[in-house]
Amino acid sequence: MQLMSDNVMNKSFDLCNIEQLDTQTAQRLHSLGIHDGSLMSVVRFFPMHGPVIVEIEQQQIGIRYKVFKLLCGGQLQ
Amino acid sequence: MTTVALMGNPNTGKTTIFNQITDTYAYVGNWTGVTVEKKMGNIKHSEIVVTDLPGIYSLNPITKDESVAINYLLTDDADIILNVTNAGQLKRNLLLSIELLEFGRPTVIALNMIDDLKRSGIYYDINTLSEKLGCHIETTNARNKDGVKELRDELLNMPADELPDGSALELNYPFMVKQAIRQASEKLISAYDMKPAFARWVAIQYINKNKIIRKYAVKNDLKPLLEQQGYYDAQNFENKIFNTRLSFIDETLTSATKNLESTKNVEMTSKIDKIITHPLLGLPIFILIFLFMFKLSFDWIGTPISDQLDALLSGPISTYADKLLISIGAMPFLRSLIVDGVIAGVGGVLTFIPQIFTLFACISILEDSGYMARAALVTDRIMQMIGLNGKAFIPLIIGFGCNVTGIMAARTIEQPKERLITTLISPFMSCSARLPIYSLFVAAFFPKNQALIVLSIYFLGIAVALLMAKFYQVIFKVKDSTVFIVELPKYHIPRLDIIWRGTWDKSKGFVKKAGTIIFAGTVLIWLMSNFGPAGFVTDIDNSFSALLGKVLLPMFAPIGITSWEAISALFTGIMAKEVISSSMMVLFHTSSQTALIAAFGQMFTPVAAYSMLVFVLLYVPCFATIGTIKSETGSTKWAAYSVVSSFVIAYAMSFIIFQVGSLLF
Repeated sequence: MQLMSDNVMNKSFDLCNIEQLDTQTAQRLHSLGIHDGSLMSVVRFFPMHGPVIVEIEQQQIGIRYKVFKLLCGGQLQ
Repeated sequence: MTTVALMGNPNTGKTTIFNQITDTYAYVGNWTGVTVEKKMGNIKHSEIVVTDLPGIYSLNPITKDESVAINYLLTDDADIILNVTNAGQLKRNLLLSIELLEFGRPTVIALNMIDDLKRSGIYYDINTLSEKLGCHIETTNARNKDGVKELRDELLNMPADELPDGSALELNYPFMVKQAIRQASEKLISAYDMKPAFARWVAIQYINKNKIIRKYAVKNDLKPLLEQQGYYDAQNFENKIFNTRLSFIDETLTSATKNLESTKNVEMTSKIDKIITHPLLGLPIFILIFLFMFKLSFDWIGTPISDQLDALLSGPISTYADKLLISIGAMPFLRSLIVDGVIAGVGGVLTFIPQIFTLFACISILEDSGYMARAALVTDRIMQMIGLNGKAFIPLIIGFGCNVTGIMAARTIEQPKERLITTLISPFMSCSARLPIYSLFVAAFFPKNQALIVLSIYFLGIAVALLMAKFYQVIFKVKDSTVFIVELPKYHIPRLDIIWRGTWDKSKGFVKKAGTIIFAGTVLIWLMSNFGPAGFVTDIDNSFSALLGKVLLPMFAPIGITSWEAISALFTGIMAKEVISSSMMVLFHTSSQTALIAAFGQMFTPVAAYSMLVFVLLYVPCFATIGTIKSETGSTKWAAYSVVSSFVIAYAMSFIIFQVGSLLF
């Protein structure tokens, strides 16, 4: 398992790649006022690539790890 | 009569507001095509009817419950729209508000949870907001009833018919989009006789790829839209509309924002979440919370009260009723029907009300506090392994109360296949109606390990449900699902009145059932056991129920059920699972659990008793559940499939348990 540790926690990402998600997920994110360029910070990871809690636009949401990785684009290292 | 449609994002307090501005209310089912629940009520002392609709993120639905709102706008003519928003997250709430304001009906926006906003150090200038959005705005804090009276007065003073059409919000969309909207709506007005505001709204929604509106256009053959679909989509108008709306909201909020002076920002939510959503502790905490809930319902509060109720019913009440009936000279036939039939059967089921109320109160507290969203998150990784997501866990948990409500709660799941799987495995969750019969059997056969045996039955139900889910995942070829977005609302301290209302809403069905289907079932089994082919019989061995049971005996012998009484009771249990235990009471002519327990001892071995419990857990869902499966999946096929498959699974499991168990013990 890849260790997602301190270097990611509480760091902000410029959200991107929303249009690469499936339409339903993209639509739901849009409805939450989330768009490319929104600031996303990581609050918590669940083990075994479980869901990720992120804070975007002053709200906390849980998303799947795969979606999170895509939204981070190349910023996740 | 004026109608108000209550709309807004999920979790903004719509239902809280609804409960506070209305006095009478009723659930109404059967919506055009699909059965979905809406809730209607009257504003106190007025003719105004308010309809509470399921929460939506936008008018373009993803889940089944979200499509209720848009269908309501299309089919029912709401006079006023009351849009409830979460003031703390106004930016995204306004995305929906814009869609509603474009609809052109008189609209009131309630900025709810205004206290949370103030605590975060921001406030909005209401006049500026009202002017920019072109509608009435009220601030409320519904949990403390702040501003609710003003909101109600506002609605009462809004003469719906005096507000002219054409007051719809018009955003400054990019030129190409604007032109497309204008051209389409002009044609819709002239060729289809639509009202201008409605035509414009339909055009915008169509361009914005609203699924329901696209279907609506096909159904009504709205040529001006259908012909242009390719152009709209190729130009990516959807995105342009989204961006315009977003910048309009940013602009509006910037001009209306007032920064408050220093605020004491106590972050209760993040403190609690540190523990509750802990990566490793999250799951154990989840299990502990539910264990606590079950302990409370079945050990600490529910069962003790239940026992006292039972003692009262089978003792003084039965005796008194019998004496009273003798004194007024009632026929023995009637006396037996009332005492051995109705009081024993219906009463026997009513004694389980304390357990059911406690369990539902616990679930209501969890719902109101905001924990359910966390539970979905914590369980997601496990659910993913069987092709479901964390959101499916909540319907399954609710299924412990009643499978019907559990299946209905599955509406919030996005993918149709996942929803179908959740619906099909829900009946394996051991609902509260099955508890009476468990209680009887464990008291009779496993007096020392009652809680453990019941718990093992519950877990067996979960295990079968998960196995079947995995099986369906393979059969239906469910791909790894991606739509899993869970909002984590701020925690609330649960309020007593909200909990009470939630508990009552959930459990009143049970009380109602006692008066209707359980009553009917009891009378039916009483008739069947007192009448035979030869008419009224005094020896129950010659009755219809004995005949039926005896015919089926060879089939049930391999799973350890060798008494025709049990088979007859199982048969009537399909009406409602509570009826199994009330049937037993009737068949053994007793209203006392102690007498029944003694009678069981001669009929079952402990292994056979356990096998019987497993059979009760898994066999055919009750009528209400079968009906719900049919209406939720929209197909009789799935309902029939559920009946047959669960019977086969139940028989197989009981067979294995009885045969293997008999070898071992």
